[in-house]
Amino acid sequence: MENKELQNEINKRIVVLGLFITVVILALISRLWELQVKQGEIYKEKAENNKVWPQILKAERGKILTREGIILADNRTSTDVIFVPGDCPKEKLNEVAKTLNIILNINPDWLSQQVEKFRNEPFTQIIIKRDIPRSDWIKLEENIFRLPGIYTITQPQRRYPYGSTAGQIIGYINEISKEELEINNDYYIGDLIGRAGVEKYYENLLRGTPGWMMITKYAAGLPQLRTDKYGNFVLARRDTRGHFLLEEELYKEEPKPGNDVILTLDIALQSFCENLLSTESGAIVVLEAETGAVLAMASSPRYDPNIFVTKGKDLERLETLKSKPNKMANRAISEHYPPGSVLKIFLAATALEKGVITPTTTFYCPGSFKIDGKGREWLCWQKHGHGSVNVVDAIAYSCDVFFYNVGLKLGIDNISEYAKKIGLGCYTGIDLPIEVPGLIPNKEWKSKVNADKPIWEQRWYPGDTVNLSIGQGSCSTTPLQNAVLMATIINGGYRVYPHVNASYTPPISTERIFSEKTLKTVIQGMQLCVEPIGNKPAGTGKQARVEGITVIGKTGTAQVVSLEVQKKYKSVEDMPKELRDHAWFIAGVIDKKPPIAICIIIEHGAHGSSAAAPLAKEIISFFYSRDRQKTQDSLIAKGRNSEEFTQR
Amino acid sequence: MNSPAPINNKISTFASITGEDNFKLLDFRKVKNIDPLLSILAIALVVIGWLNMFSASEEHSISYFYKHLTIFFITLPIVFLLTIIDYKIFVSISPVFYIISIIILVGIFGLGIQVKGSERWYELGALRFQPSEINKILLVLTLTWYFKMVEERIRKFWWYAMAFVITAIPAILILLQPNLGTAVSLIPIVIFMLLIGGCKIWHWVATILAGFIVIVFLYLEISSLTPEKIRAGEHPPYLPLKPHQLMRIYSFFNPDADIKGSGWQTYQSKITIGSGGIYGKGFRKGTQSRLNYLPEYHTDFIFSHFAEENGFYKSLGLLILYLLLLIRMLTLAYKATEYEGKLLIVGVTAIFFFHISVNIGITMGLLPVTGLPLPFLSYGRSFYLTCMVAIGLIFSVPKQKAFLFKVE
Repeated sequence: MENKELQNEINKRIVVLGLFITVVILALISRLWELQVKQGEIYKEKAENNKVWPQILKAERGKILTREGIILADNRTSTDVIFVPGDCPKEKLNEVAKTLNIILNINPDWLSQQVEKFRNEPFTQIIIKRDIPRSDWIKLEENIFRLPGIYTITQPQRRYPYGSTAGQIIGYINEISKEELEINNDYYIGDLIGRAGVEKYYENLLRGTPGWMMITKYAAGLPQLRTDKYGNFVLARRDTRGHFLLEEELYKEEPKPGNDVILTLDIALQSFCENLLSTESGAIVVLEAETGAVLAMASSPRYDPNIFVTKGKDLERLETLKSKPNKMANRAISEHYPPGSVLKIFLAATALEKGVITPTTTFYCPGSFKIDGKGREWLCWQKHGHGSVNVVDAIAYSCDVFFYNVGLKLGIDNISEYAKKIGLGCYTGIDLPIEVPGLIPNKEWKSKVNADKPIWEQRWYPGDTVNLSIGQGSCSTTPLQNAVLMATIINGGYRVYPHVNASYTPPISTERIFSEKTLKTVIQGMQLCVEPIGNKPAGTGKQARVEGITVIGKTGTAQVVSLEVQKKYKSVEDMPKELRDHAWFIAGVIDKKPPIAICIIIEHGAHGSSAAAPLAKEIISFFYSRDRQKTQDSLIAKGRNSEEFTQR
Repeated sequence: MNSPAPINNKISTFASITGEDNFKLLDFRKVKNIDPLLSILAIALVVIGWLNMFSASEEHSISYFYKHLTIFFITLPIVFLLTIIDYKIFVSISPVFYIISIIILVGIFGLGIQVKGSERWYELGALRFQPSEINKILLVLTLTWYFKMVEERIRKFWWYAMAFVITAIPAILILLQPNLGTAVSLIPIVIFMLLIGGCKIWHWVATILAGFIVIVFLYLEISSLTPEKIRAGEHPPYLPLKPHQLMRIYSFFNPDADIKGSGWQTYQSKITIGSGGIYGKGFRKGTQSRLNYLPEYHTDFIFSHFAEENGFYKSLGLLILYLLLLIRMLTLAYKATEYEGKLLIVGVTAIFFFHISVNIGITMGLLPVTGLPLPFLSYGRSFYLTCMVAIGLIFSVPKQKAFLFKVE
């Protein structure tokens, strides 16, 4: 290197490069400082979140029982067979597949396909068969030494030992959907959630609190849960990709099982009522008149909730969901019907209470009625008329004209005020989902629904009150509301809050809606409806009479189609079934303990007197006889031996 | 640099080397040439590399550590061998190897095997090799030969541009393999060496500016794409990149676009470094790497692992150690008595500098992800060999005696 000038120039440039390199490394150092010193704490937290993972432990769902301790819903042990390819040496795979084929009838090719599918995650728990019968489980356990990689997982499986008995009240559960997961923060994928009945209404009570444990989690691979032989959760030693996992014992919270729900249902009565309805569609509600406790709430047709919780019943599920008449609907609360003459009880009591009429007030019934003697003519069901009737006779013989007059005298405002007080045409507040309110129309309602129509259509006319007086027109009630009405009549005029949960304490109402004097008269009328008093013959409900028990009752008929359509047919028997009237009967027992209120509706049963009243007789005589105890005992035995119990 | 300076014609060419009396292929006295300071710095990094690799290897992956340990001892004789051989022999024959390497790179498209869209290999029985690694050192040698040959003509534009052609041919072939990281790593070599080769400064500055403009243009172009378009392969044809490569660049500019996909590595690497904090998590106690959140932590992301376990002060120390290594190399270039020697040392310094700064820049989220190893720390035996060869070549260059040992 003789050329000093060139060498100096090159050396200068080397120095420039050295400075450049220094600047770049200093930039890296400042970035390092920013990451580790300035934001170190933030990143530490992020790393901590990466490191540990809360593994959710599911809680066992609470049972549903009756007051006698009969189990209506509980959890049995369901056993799934799983296979972990990573725990099975390759050369033994064939033998395992052969043995499994013998015990569980598993296709050996299927097994090897699964092993191939999970090649990258050999410690995944592949579910081979869900919910195996107990006999297979025992066979598997006997051969377990020959089956490396085979494990069983037990988990609780919901069961309803009485099948469709009270099925609509108990309801069912199934897996939570993705949409619901977004709304409910405390649920996780695969959780079960109540879908109907008590299971839905008392979801929070029954569900329990899931536990969790902190475990180390690798970026690749998922932790796997298993159960030991007692059904407790344990973590598989390896995750899906074979990393060894550590439980961080410090953070472990055991799941808290859900609470049991005890129902007021009398399972024997429930089953009896359901049998009475077996061929008809309709509903029966039996209430304890004093407390509002639901003793039976039958709705027909009905479904077996087991099909929703047991695997492999998809066909039945589909059939049930699509069935017509709808099996899913609880007709006692989710359907509303025109109350027909049943409403007369309410009208009579209100009129007496308001002093519009006295027990001795009479109206003359010529068989038809006109407001102020002119305009449209309303008929009484008895074409020839009842003659001059007082309130007791009018209830017993269901005189329409008497109540047309009473309704007009009372006025719509009084009617709607008392309907609200007693719980007609509004939610009764029963602790079951999907209750419908029904409707007792009033002035505001009419102007609201007809808001887009001319002003004269929005006005309330006396004719509307006349229609309402015998429970026709726009008004509708649920069977439960009618049972509540009945219960109020026989419990001394107190508001009843129906409920199915035995530990429910109804709001204490000291206010009497109806006075004793009023009720005495109404009860007298209802008693005459069922049994003859003195020289007076029994009224429309005579088929409900039970020897030795004072039964009071009232029939009702809810029109399905207008009178014009009905006139086309000579008699009820000629009419197609779906056009026939709904048959109502409400009944109560006052001289036995506990007093009960019953409401029966038979859809398209035509006459309350012939279709519904006889059922009330059967229910009452069953309820107060020794048969009930016997039936209960046999039911308990049946529950124990049911398919759900014995098969597993 | 104001006036063109004539370059001394007496500087040896291949022909003149063989004619010179004092030429010796092997000269054992050259062992004295081994620079103690550079050796100490390199050995310090090698030892840190061992410790860190041991920490990164768990029971089931302990073989990484053993292989990392043995590769040093396997390659150590090569350093001595290169020290005692006159480096000019490699410079003289480098054009031949350059042409052979181009043939190999072309041939790989027909004969090589490719696994999962990654770089192609040659397979010779049980032996597999990626030919592109050798191109780094080979380019340094070839450019040294070229600059030596053209001498002051380098100040003319076409001769200047020719240096880029020499670089571009292997770079494009490697890019097509596809191996973006190695292809890009050739660029700083030519940039650094041109400056030392005596080019006109404004040529050089204009090139840097042009490169900068191209990068800005590509940035704007890539920013206008969407992840969906990239995955569908609907990007402009003048971007000769695979969708996954483009996605990495895209997600570098848009870190939130694909946090579970190509943005994942950067995101987790930042967490890994940041969570180390000031004092670190302790030896073999890094959670991010042990629980596999940090990807590639034996190779490209080894620095993150180091920073996680050792904390800010020790990581700072590591960076300073690297800086000292680079400065020492440049000092040796400064002191080199021969033109070729200066070029050679700056060339290998460019290799080290690029790998160190880009690798650490990637782990800290400053640059888009591409596979580049970190000298002496990353697992990867071919690059380890490159580093050791580079050190050997530096030792082989005759230098003025350092002030400390100055005896004349």
